Amino acid sequence: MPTQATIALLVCEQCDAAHRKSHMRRGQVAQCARCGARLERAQRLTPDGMLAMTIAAAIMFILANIYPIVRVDVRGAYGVSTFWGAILASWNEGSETVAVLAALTVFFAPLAELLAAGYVLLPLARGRRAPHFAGAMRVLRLVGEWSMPEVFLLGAIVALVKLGDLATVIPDIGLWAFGALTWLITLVTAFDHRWLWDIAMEAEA
Amino acid sequence: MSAIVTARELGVLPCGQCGLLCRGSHADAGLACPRCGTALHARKPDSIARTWAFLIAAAILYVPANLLTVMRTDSLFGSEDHTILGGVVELWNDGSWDLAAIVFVASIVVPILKMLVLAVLAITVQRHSHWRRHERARLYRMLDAVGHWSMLDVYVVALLIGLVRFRGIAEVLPGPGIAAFGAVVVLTLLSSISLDPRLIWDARDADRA
Repeated sequence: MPTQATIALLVCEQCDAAHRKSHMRRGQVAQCARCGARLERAQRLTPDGMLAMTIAAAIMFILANIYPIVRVDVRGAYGVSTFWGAILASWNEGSETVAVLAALTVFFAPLAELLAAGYVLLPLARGRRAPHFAGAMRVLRLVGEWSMPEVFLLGAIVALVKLGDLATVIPDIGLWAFGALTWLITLVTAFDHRWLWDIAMEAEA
Repeated sequence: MSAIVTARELGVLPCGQCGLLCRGSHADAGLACPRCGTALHARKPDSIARTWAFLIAAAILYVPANLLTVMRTDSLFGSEDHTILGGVVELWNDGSWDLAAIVFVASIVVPILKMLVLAVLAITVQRHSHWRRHERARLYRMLDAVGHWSMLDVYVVALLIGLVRFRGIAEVLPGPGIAAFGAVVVLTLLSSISLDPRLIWDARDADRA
């Protein structure tokens, strides 16, 4: 087993340059002296605040998935589509790849992100470390690369405009919920993993 | 600029998962982080080989992604096949030049630039090049930030299929091109995740030793 090295260092993840750690004020950002990458950002939110954001994001996630994203009216023919309606239609029309990709990046990855964040933060807000903390953090980091609700939001706007000259389109609750979800999930997942690890190690198991 | 010392020169291995700084060197194989249990690597394993593998696969699929139709619209006025580039042109002709620009950037500019940048980074790293390290490091960070926006077209097609389902009046059906396009986006993402940006700077470290 290797041992822990001195913790007064900050190593750039992008170029491996070592820096001396210094105290930072809330919201301050440290940049690498060699490659210019962000080294560390002093956290704005406490675990408490992050937990609140996670719960709000979870509520928006539910709304975004059950309410229609848009209503369409084509000369009296009336249609609504939820996110899952679009996924199922893509699957049934023979484009399984589209259905799977969209479901993974807009539903399963954000869901796993929110569950893992809630699992880690709920005990941490009370000063405790969750069992299997390392596993949950690994999930959080892995699915983070594949969670893309912000891109889906832009896709929904593009689809609305494309339909604009064919039909009357009315944005519905689902679309607004996706907007709020995008904003909240960005806040939740923007934290520094190393920071959360450091807090967790101070907390009791 | 003051002399930069790297973690490798200090004999420190930062854990890729939790960031814990561990004592160890490049030569130590099979070490695990004492805090989170993740295997420790000074650099991402087989970084360049994996980057090329995903990149070449993406470049091959890029051809059908752009040549094949991504969706077909059936309406009272007949049926029409759409390609990725065709979708941009339609938006432009409809007067939505702003959205046309966004889709053009997300679907055409980003994938091409991404593949070019990945190729340039992989080649220069393989040659231990000193050429414009700062700019290349910044390019990598940009790649990381914009890469996933290319997924845009996949969502647009899925939503249009879900929304336009009026049998006999109007229908949108997926074409084979969209699966290839989605695969290109996933493969370029995997390629950039595989690339270790620290390799850009390693050239100098090797020269110094």
